[in-house]
Amino acid sequence: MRSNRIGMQFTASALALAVSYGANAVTDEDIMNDHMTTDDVVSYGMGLQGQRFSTLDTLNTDNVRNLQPAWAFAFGGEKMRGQESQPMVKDGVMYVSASYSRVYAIDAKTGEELWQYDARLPDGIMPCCDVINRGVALYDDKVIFGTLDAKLVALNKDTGKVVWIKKVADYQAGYSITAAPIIVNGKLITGVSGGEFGIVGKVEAYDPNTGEILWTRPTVEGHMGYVYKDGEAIENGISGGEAGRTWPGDLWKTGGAATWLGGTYDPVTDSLFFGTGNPAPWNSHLRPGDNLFSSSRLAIDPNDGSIKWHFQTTPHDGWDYDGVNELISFDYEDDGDVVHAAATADRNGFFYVLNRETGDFIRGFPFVDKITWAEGLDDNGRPIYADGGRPGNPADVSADKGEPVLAQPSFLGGKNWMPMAFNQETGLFYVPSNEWAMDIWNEPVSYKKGAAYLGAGFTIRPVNDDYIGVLRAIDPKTGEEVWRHENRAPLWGGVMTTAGDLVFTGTPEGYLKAFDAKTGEELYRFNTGSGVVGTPITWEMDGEQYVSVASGWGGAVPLWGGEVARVVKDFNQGGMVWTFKLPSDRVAGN
Amino acid sequence: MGRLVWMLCGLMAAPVLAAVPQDPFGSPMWEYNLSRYLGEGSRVVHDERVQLVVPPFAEDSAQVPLTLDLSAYPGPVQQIITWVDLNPIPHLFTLTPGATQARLVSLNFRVQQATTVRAAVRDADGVWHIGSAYVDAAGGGCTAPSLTGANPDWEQHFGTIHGGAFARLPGVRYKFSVMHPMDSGMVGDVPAFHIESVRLTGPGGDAPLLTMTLSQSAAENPMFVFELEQQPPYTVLWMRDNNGNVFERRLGEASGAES
Repeated sequence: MRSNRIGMQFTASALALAVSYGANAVTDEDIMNDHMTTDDVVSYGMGLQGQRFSTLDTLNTDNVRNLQPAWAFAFGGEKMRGQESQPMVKDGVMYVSASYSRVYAIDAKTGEELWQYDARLPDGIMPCCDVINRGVALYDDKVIFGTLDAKLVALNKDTGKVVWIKKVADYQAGYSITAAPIIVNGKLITGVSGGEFGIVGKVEAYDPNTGEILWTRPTVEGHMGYVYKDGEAIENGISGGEAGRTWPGDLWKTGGAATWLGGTYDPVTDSLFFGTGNPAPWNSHLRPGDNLFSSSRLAIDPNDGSIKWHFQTTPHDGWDYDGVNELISFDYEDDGDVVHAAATADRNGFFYVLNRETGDFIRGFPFVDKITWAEGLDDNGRPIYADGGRPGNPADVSADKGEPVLAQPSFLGGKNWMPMAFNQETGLFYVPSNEWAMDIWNEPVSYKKGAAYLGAGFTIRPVNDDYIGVLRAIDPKTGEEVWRHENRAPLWGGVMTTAGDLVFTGTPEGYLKAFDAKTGEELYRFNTGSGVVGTPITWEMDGEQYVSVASGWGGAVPLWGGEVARVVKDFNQGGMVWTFKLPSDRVAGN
Repeated sequence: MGRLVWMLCGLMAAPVLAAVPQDPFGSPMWEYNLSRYLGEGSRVVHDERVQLVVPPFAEDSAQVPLTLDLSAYPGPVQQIITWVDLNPIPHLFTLTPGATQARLVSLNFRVQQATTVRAAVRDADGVWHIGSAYVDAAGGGCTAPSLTGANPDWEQHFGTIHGGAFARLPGVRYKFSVMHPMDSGMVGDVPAFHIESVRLTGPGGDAPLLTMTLSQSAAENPMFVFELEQQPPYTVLWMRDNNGNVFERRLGEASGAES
């Protein structure tokens, strides 16, 4: 009798374990359908296409004023700095990364910590632009993220214990990882950071269960790509065909083009879209040519890493106009035909609409108020350089530095890393942008492993007295700016939009804000206590709609912003994730 | 050596429920840590044959040598658990032997303040045999920053293993150290970073010679000694830390056949 009861208990608990495991495992299907499911967020971008659009409309323009904080969670420690993460939510648990390569699992109902993982980082890490992390990937029973010392770490989602760890690149050569990896059909895809140190950018796929490498694709012309079978590297073609086509001499060996912002995926064309950073060094006179594939968008075959097409936004970049900004897939109708398009708002100040099947240029237009370095785009989307727009060659003068120029946008970009969002209902893109200029000049430089490889000096300054940041609603079919909202400090946080006609973003002043997606009217603000440079998400739990955002001022602006310091110097650091909800009894307006 | 088992629970006319023998050192953590690490209601006896050796005074609170000598213990040993009563995280290690019995285990540890140290050895009947020792100390070993961490180049030597296998009559002595900061997580701004698992495997590969789990009481750059009753031709040492780093090395070759 007694043993029988024990036996039954065992069976019951084993069953419960199996059920809870099954319910909690994140599948390829969950990730592929993330943009349609409202009860979870299991991909960076709230859908692999990266639209950051939620079909939820419980929370809308009528009731957003009733949005209330539900809980806040402190990342703790003295390690604050910039919090640029996008949280993930699955089965009532939030997974969020924080500065200094930390990851937290939090009860999404109560805000209580379930576990915390702190990577032990070497002192020699070399992140160019703050010790940030932009988010995790979820797969099966694992939480996977990249560290500042260029490793991938897979944690058990229930315990936070390390399942596997994999070195992606050598941090002592300047590599790091700050972007969220993505999962595409059972492959973990990641890029690398380090474009200021003369690294060679690459996109790589790993087995999310084991950490074994599957393929690698360098993003600088001349470097060999590989696929791996049974631990053996098999050549899969040189990127760009051969070395030296668009680079002089040996400069392709340290050509930069870091894939530091990760990528998106489009199931319609089965393509990964990864952007690439600046060519190295910054001094463009040392490397005449287009310098492929720097400052480009690449369509990559997720199966073997082959490059399907590329579109270079800034050929022969001389202003640090990285081409990493997210390429978001979207469809629109043109004379009754559905166009499979993709859009991106580049650092260089132009907004591009591309055919995502071919990479062909459809249209492009400035999304910032002024562009000095180019007069416009030609029929293929190639910039028409302005006379005198490029900093002078130091070799032309006897001094140590070349002729400086005033360039707009500044190298921090018309838009930087912070992702924009596309609303399927309004058909508009909501672009977090900034109006600033820079004085930039070139200097001689040579490569040294692990040292900054710039050959340029610069200082950034605002161009308007009363604002730098501008949140813009942009029509991708016409180039029209439908509305704008100006912000005194530069915008550095991501954007999210919903079927409730809302646009959410944060400001360095500390606010989470909600806007009317059609008019731009500010409908809600809440101060989180430190600058918001993270990306908000929304989801549904127990019949109520939630919004979460990480708070904690930092990122590249306080480090590189030059004269912008005047505006941001009093912003204090922080490190929290804030969660808001619309209580079910406050759904009716008023 | 005669049978010097202190069957205190028997002497004290204990009630039917397994009472815990009194602690000769009078540690305030005695009963709490017994139930915490050995389980509530475990059968416990003091046993002098579980010989735990620590210095009377810790010259360096961050590096205190501990030796557990089981040469007088008749065996077989099912499991060994050690802890440091007054450390913030008292647990030091749990060791599970394989087919070959471990006769001696040594490891350096940290002390936060003067404390009793315990080793519990589980026999085939499930009874825990306790050896105890007391170490006086100035303290602070668990919350002092590691020397490794003070060196910005620590990663260059990180994971370096020194050591080898030395023939004994009969058996083998493995002695090795590994360069690892073993951060306890109690120093400001330095997350916990320490070796959690140690495994020795013989040529067969399947059944380990021993497995060991470590906690934060283990010292920086730990030095391990294991003496086993029989020597396999060679042994693979495998260690893993809480960040998932794996350290692996072969110890000894098939050379000491004359023993």
